[in-house]
Amino acid sequence: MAPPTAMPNQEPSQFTDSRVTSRDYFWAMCRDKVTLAAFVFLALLVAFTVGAEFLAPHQPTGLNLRDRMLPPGSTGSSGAYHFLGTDELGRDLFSRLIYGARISISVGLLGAFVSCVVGVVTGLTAGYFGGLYEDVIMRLVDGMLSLPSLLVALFVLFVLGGGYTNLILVFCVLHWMVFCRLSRGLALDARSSTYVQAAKAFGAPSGRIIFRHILPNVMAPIIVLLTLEIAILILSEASLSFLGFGVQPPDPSWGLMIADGREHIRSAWWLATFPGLAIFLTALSLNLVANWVRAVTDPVQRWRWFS
Amino acid sequence: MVYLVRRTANSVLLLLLTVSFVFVAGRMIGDPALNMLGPGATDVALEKLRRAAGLNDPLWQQYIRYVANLLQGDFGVSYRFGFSVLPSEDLDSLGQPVIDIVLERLPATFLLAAVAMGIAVPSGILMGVVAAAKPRSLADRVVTVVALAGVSVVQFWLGLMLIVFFSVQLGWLPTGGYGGLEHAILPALTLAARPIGRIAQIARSAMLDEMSKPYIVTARAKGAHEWRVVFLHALKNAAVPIITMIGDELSALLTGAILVEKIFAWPGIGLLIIDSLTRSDLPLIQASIAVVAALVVLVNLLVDLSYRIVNPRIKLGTEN
Repeated sequence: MAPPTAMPNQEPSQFTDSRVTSRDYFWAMCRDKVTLAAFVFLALLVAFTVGAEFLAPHQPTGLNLRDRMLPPGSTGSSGAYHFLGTDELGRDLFSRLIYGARISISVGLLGAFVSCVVGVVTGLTAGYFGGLYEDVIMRLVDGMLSLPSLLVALFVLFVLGGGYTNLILVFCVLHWMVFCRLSRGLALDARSSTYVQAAKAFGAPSGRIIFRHILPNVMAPIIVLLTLEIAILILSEASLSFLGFGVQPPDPSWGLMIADGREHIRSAWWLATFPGLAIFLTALSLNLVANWVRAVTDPVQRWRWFS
Repeated sequence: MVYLVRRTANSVLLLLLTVSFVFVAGRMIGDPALNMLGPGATDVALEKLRRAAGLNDPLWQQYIRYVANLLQGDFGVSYRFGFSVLPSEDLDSLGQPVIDIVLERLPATFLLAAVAMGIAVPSGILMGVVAAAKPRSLADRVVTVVALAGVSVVQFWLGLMLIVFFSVQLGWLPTGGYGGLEHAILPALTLAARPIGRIAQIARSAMLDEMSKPYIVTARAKGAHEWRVVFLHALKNAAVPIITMIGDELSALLTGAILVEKIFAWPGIGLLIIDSLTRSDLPLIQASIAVVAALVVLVNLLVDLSYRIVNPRIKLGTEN
């Protein structure tokens, strides 16, 4: 972030003449050390999640009762090295974290992505068409947003029973509204813009205008919100699983691992500490990336990043 | 005034929908009579209870009766608390009225919420103001990172870590339970982490917006002290987004208390909700959800109304 050499209101106009390529984004990111670290962390996380079978040093369910509760950095009886120690059944904590990431991350990603699709489709169409349709949708959104979502999620999971699929379903039902409200506002703005008027004048059908003209132009704020929602859903998953209403025990999820570790908190601090740290670093990285995307795509301040 | 009435009517309608949803969904999980008496109950006892509780009537009749009782403040009796084994003909003698149980738990949650917000609001606003006073300074960076950390941390995990550090290692504070202020410190700190982060973020951006406006330049040109400019002029005008965030966080805090109360064994309404869910105590679940939902809706209503007091330029109802 070098100090501006010219007046800020001159810099952007100069800048918009040249197209920003993905290479520019890459270098802008490399200059910001904190964001770069967040990106690297998330990339590693995805790599470990996808390649858990190859990258995890041990089986997540591999019991070894002789090596129970080993502290981090110790070597087991069979010479196996346990980077983050072992749990009460002698299972390698690091390997369990990697397999747990699979569930926690995929719940967050799927839940946020499906709610994003539902919210953006309803929001863009509501903002574009207006009328009674918009009134009904927005009334529904307002009502659902004013309910305490964690409480409703708890109750619905109590009725339906926990588990991976139900968790994602509940997240979609309780989180599409934020995307809907955002994209409705964006569509309202876009409706009166010249490029939409031009497309209309050419006789483009509404569906084409909404999804081929408006949507690409309003992607940036939607991506920022999507990133933030993934972080929120990962935190919610942990909370619900911790309470016993989310992912069910044979599957390792980060929230469940904290719940297990809580029982041994006095004798084995690492069991609850590392899963929580993993969630914290993931959510922090997602927040940092969202902030960066917001700054880079903001026409007022983006010149700072590419100068 | 018209706005107030319509806004309140909307809230009441929303609450009614919530209660109805909980009623219908609650009936989907199984036979309430069997649930009440447990798996060892005889058929005679089950039938007796069903007749006493009117469970043989069509569902819509039960629903109307439920709502009618609700409007009179009668949420039914608990399946578990003070429940007598032999059901008599008079259902009301079976167990403790759930609304009493819920109301009994409220002060503990309110105390926790008050202490948490008492920590979060001043420190969050102060952090935001300090960060906005010198953008991109060291203080600004520290505030930004601390705020992000507060938003990203898993609340119940933070609670566990605080217990490990302050209670187990140092032995300064109790690990949990209900009591004096020393029992409230750790759970309130845990609950405050997220609101501190959110309030600091919103205060920073709102203050940055205000500090670049002409009236600030005027105030400075007139020779007002910098702290006067920041705290009296700018902060007053940045208040609306900050209050919105405080309201949001207050309602999030009421539900976030579920986890924190569980971790610290704090006998508030959050712990009650978890207990009633794990015991499948349907009337208690219905009543506690209704009360928490009502509180959240009330907080939202108060936030809306406070805009007018803070910023007289906002005419409520004109946005519709």
